[in-house]
Amino acid sequence: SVFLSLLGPEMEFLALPNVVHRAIMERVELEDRLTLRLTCRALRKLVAESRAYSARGSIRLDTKQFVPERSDDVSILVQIAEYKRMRWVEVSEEGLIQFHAMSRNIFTGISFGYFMFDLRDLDDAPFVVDFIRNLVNNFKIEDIRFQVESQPILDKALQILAKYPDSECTMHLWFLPETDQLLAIPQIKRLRISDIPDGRRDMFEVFVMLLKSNSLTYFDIEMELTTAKLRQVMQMLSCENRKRRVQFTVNHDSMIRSLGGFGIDQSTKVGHICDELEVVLVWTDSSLMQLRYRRCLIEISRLDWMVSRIVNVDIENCDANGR
Amino acid sequence: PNVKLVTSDNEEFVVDFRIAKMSVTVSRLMEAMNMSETDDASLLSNSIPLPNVTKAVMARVIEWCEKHKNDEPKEEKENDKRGRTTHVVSDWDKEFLKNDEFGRLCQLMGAANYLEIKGLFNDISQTIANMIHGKKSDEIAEMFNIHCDLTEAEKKEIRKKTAWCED
Repeated sequence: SVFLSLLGPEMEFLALPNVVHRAIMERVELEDRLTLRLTCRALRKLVAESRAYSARGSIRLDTKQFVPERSDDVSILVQIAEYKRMRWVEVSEEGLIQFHAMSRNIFTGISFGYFMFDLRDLDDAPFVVDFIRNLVNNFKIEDIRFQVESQPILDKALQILAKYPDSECTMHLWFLPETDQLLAIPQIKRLRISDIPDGRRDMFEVFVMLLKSNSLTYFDIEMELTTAKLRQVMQMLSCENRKRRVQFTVNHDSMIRSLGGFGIDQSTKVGHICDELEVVLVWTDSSLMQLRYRRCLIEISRLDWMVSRIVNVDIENCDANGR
Repeated sequence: PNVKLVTSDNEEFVVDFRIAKMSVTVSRLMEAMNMSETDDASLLSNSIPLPNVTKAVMARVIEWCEKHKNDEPKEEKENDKRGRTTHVVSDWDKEFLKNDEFGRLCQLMGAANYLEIKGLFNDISQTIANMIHGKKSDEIAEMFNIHCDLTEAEKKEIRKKTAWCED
């Protein structure tokens, strides 16, 4: 540090302390790291010995059928910077060694703002997920997302998730797991379930179970709602001390009936108190209504009293400090 | 109350106590010297020596601190657990730093690091990363004032090693 004070006005970048170099390198884009390596030996070393950052990244399966000239049977597509840098990694020991050897030249580890593990189409090859776990060994992820369509792959995805206890997680399931498996999913930020066959289960029952275990639940299916069910959800969220938010879609007629049970209809205005619901906002042009129930704020969008279409419901409770 | 800071070239800066406290290094030194906000005598009779900061750089640091003295402390994510801390350089800070030559920016960065002023440190590191962005290797070498000691054969080898993610 004494040396720093003796330097003239044109302080050399390379004379700055290592902690400063690391801070800058964490903010340098991946493509710029590649360029920096070609500047001089010292910067090449700095690039290889510092952590990188990428706003986004992803992994998904890629099969030979789309690229017949490829020699391997199964590959995964890895994106570690912008989309044009999406590249194949062969699912083999050699592929893993090559990827890690390449990585060592441009970072010691990499942090992602957002990383998507698209694990669909892996039903026949769950071993690929084990390969992916090894591949992302030195990755840190702030916002981790999964797309999964079978129970064996969900089990593997949860093993990956266990390596990221501090990350925010969104799990998008393209199937409906058995109840015990569903409840085994740890508390995550957002759980989305799509493509559930009609009538397979009382979805409200599943929804309520999930509500108790997840901080945020988004249901990408159309639910039948009643006044009693709506009240039950709002009561549950009002009693919950942790901040919770649920979003789901509701069949138009059942939404109208559910609101009717509280005394809310087309003529309801802002400020009206209907049963225990206070009307906070009515925005007819945008088909939007906001209500308050104890500690909950309820937003109902796409609510057209005359046109039958799916309605979106978003209910959020206040946290312990108020919102 | 005011605090006296003395730079490496013996220039004395008298700054508001709040500004002095923005530097973790200065805070620690004041604590070690039993200087407190409520004890005027302790502040008047002592000055904080900052042997790693010159007068010109100190003036810039104080200008930045004056602007940010009323900022709410930012809640930042822990680096080691979840990756990089996200930092957005405000418009005022961009304007403040835009006319600094690269060498001057490095000096300011060195001072922010030594004085432990996190906001300024993050502003400058992001600004330098932005300055590097999109430049060719010879342009970066010129900006950094460094001589390229790599041969063409070495450059070719470097490119080959990372061919996987090259364009």
